[in-house]
Amino acid sequence: MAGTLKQTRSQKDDEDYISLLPDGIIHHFFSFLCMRDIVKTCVSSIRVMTLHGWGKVRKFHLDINSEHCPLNDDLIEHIFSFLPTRDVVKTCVLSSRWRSYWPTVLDLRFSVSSPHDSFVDRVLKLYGRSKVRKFHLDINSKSFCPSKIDSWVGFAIDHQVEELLLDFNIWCVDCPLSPLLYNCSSLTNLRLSGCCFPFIENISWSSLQSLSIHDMDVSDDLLRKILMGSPVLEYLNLERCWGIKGIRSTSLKELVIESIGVEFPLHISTPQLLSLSVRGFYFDKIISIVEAPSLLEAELDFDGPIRSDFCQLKKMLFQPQNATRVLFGPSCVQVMCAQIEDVQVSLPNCKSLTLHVAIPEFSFSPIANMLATIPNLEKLNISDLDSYNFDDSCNLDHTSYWHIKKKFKHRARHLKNVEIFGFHGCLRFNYE
Amino acid sequence: MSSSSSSSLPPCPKKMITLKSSDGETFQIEETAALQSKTLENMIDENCASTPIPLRSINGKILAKVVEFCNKHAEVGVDAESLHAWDAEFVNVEYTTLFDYILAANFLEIPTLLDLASGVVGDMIKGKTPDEIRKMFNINDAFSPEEEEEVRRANQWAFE
Repeated sequence: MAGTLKQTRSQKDDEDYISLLPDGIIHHFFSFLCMRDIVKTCVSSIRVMTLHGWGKVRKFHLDINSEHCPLNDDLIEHIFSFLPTRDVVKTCVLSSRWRSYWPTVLDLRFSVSSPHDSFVDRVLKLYGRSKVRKFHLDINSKSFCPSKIDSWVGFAIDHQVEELLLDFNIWCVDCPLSPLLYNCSSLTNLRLSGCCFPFIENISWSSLQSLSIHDMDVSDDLLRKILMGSPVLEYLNLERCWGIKGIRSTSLKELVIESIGVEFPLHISTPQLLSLSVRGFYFDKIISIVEAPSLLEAELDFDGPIRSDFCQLKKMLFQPQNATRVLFGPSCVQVMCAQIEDVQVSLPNCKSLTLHVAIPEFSFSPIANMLATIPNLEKLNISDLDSYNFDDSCNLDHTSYWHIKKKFKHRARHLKNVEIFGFHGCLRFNYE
Repeated sequence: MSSSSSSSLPPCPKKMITLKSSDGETFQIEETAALQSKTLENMIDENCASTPIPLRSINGKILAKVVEFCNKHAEVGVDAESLHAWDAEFVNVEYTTLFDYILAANFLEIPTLLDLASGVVGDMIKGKTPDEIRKMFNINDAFSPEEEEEVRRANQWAFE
């Protein structure tokens, strides 16, 4: 683009040169103008503009713009539906076409900081549909009255909400969720953060497919009721939740647990599970995968339990027996590489292995030894988490490069390629 | 994130289909990647995909990017985080190009791309003045300043 501009400029004197530019280029330059922020980043078009003065430019711009936006109203509505509701409501001043648009928007997204803010109530009062697709409520203050929040959640439930997101930012830990929520059959996607579950007898989430719970106390009993009451749940994400002892579900396909306080051995029994991620801290006790025969992907990147449990932990890391893709984080790599006499384990189906390593503790030999336990490995990816923190001893000379390459292949006969990132650039071994 | 992969079967040859842009460029795309488009999926189901599929509303430059998007999203074993980073880079373009992505995704019925691009345009118009939004979307039946003031007054609560 810049080259074309230069060429055109050299051909003519400067007074009329916009008219000499090809239409496409004029369209292109002027398309930037209505967005003040973007035009500032586009030096070349500013240069063009200043030659002619802004008055002339603006006029010209309006002429072009009238045929510029190719989107029909349906697509513009689709774009508006991604805006926070505060911005959607403001579209009423755009034109008569848009004046009455906002009460028909299917997705409502609120972020509220003051209990005196009447915005949500106003919107809900004027809302024109009988159904809400998404209802997001982000509370940023602790002085909200629970009954107020209840009435908003109640609105969403009455409107057959499909995706409900309640983020109370730990401000309202004492604000219990509305009991109405527990029988909401329209819910397919629920994300709760920083709220509090009241005591409940039964839960029935007959359509729920995806559930995320962050920063909440979830008793073992409650989680059991949730999983029993959610027969089609496929995705479960638990982050910073305390009190869980077991995860049993016959429908779950993907499970992500992060920094949940595991104070008791945690049993996972999920016959349909395809993907498991365990990340973060506070894993003081062993997680045991009691049943997960379908597991294809496992990401094990967590700290703990304490080292005295190395033997147990190593057994645990070898539990995803059927997984074809496995990722280990730094602590788990350390355990995997540790020589523990009594533990005879292997990952017979693993074909692709990713290791996140901490460079100061890294060396090639233990990893090569570990490969003996993964006999069918085809692809190995090693990356260091902080590539600025490499150790010079990891700098390979030619001889050790061949030595390591041979050693890896010796342990894992099916190995096809190895990629190592983060030492001095990227190291690749290809065996084909 | 999860996808099945069979370890015992021999690798079967990849089935390709050909797309033809409005300016006559052709693109090969694996059938598995093309299935992200509902429109292409229907054509494949009806056996209409054995010859190059003409896409008269999408030029070569945009179609190349759409094919790139579908290929990336059909890749096996990409973790959510790196895919997210890839997506962010993919939509780091001018809004006019995003409009083209939106049109192409709408025509081909690729909801992931449609929502990704629409979300980014949504982010761009946050905090923009009504005038800026009108210009961006070519809304030319704008209120007169007096009418706009009246609508604004009637909805004062939304502008507080």
